[in-house]
Amino acid sequence: MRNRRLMGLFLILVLALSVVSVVRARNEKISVWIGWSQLLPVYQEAATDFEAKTGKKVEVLAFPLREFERKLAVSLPAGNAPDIFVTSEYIIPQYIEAGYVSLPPKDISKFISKSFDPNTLKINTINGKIYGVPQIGIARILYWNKDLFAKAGLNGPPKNWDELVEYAKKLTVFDKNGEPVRTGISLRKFGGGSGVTEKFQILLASAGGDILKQNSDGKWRAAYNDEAGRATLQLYIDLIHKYKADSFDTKQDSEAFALGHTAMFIREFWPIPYFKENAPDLKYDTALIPGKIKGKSGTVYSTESAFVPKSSKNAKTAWEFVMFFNQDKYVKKMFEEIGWPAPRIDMDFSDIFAREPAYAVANERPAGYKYSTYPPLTAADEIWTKFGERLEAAFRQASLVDNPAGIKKVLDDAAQETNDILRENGLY
Amino acid sequence: MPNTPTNIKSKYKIKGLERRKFRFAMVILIPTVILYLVLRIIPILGTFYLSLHNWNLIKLHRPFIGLQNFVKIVKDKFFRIALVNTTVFTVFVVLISVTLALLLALALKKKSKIGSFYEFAYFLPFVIPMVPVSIIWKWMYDRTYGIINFVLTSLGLKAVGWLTDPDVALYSIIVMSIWKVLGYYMVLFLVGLRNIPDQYYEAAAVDGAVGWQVFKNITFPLLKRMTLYISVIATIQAFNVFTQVYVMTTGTQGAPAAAVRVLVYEIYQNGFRYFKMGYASAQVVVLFAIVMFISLLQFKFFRTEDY
Repeated sequence: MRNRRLMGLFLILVLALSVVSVVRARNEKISVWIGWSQLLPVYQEAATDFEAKTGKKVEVLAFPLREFERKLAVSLPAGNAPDIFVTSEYIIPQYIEAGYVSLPPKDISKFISKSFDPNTLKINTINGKIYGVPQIGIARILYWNKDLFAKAGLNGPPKNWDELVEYAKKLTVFDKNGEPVRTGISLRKFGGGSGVTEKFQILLASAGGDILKQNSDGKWRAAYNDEAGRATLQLYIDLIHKYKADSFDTKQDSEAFALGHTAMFIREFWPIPYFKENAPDLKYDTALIPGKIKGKSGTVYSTESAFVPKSSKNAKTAWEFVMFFNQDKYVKKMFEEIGWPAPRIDMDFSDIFAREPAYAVANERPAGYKYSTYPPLTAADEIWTKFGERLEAAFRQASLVDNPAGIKKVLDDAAQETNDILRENGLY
Repeated sequence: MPNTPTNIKSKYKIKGLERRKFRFAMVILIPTVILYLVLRIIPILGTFYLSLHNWNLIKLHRPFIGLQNFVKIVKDKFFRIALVNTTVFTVFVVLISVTLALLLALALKKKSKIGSFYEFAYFLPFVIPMVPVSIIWKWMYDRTYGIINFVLTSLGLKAVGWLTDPDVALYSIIVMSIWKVLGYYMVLFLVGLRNIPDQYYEAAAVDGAVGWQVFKNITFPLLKRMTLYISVIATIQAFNVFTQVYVMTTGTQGAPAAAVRVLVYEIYQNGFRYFKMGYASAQVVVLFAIVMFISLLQFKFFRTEDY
């Protein structure tokens, strides 16, 4: 009798604990931080679906990129970080080195290694391990205005730098004072240091160069003060000052392209949905970046991955949501509606390419086309930003036209600063 | 009064009452003092402490490095550019805005309906937050679509790259910043002017003083306290310029940020972009020293007998 009572009490206790744990699981709430507000609608949709399926709440917060990076820098060391955060391969190494980031479970590691392209895996490998699930992999591409090209008697995008310069000259329209009112190309010349370097890096890659190189001893040094770097800066100076095919005073970038104020510019994929919404009549296409020499080129490629910090109290649910988000539905939506492609090799995007041919270039990677990436270094952002500020100043100098010595000096001085930053961080 | 036992007793009674009042005042002040210590004094001391360390926000090892951060500042080209730009900004904004504000206040001193309208109109920009104001001015300064260039080109003049020309960009921001603070300083001057008793002016009138003599011998001396206050806050605000520079000079359509680099932007970059909190703190200490030095100079210049 007594044993039966005890058994009954035990069963009630087990039942009560089970109910409590089920209720707790259903009330579980995780937080996701992203630094790109464009991604918010897709993440929120996934969060709503996830809650409907599991009963677990997901709070998604998007911040302006710099504010996001700042919040991360403060919250990760303090142990107040969100359960998931999405960031770049050049931001994460410092947090991994400091021991704030957890490794994914084995099944997710397997998914990563078989689902993403080798280039993405390579740049996300730190100390032999991959810590995050890649969400986005973006190569920079050339946009060209079909109508303006046709009016100038040009049939297609430039295939090499000679054509790029020639086409840009032909496409530029001047006013009566000889100032360009429509530019042949809108290069990134100012506005936020690291972005200026990144755009320079694209043409540098297309000339076979890179911002940094790693020695056999694992140390790094500036690499842009070589022949490719000098040729790239020369290209900028010629287009801006010698041929006036680009200008500081006209509209710039995607906005200029949407308004027909420039015939070419270089960007990621996000302008495609931007044009669809803001300039639906714009007739344009995309192309790979033309190389310095025909048949040999390259571009910048960068990724964003989802990470779970060690401080997360709901790591299991966090990884569960990361995998939930990696379903075709959200990945394709992120690509087609926001212009952020996922570097997945296990998915078929042909339906998207059929609906929006401008995306098709994402699938092209001919032989000899090089991907330049951000090195996984803590000092990368400072190097990119400070070099960008030097480039901004150099782009203004008309005295650099036909002045190889001046161009060499600009790059050598900048390289010295880059090497000093590397040295300061024990990387040189 | 002789020290009779009764008098001594009442004296101590009063003292006891004062002591109780003193204790009461102390108790009331404690929360405020604690808040002031926590929010002001400790962070300032913390900044001094950080400035002596190689303090990276993310890294766990943060060694003491003495004055190395300050030595680095001396050699830092970007800091020098920022210091020059900020000084130019401060000199122009403080001198022009304080002078114009005083002139406007003198013009609007007498209360009238139209005067109240002008007071409101001049004060309005001050109450609008800096970010929307900066965005509005960024559009006005736009080389292609901006209203300023529209007027210039309509008059047959050449369009100017207000925010894209590095030689002009800083001055464009100076103009906008003067416009923003002018009304506030004007209102402060008006308060000062209206507090000057009329009998001084009446006495001056009896002595035959007019115009400049009245201003020089009565108005300006009696406004010294207010002028000191306005000059000090204007200098502190100008040296801390950041928001308008950040909003108007970053982004693909903006000006080159390096051309209008200012000290707080530089500190922000080092602290929150590169996470070098130790170095950024050293820059803050230098900024603190500069502002303190200039404020002390202003106190000396505007000192009156009652200080």
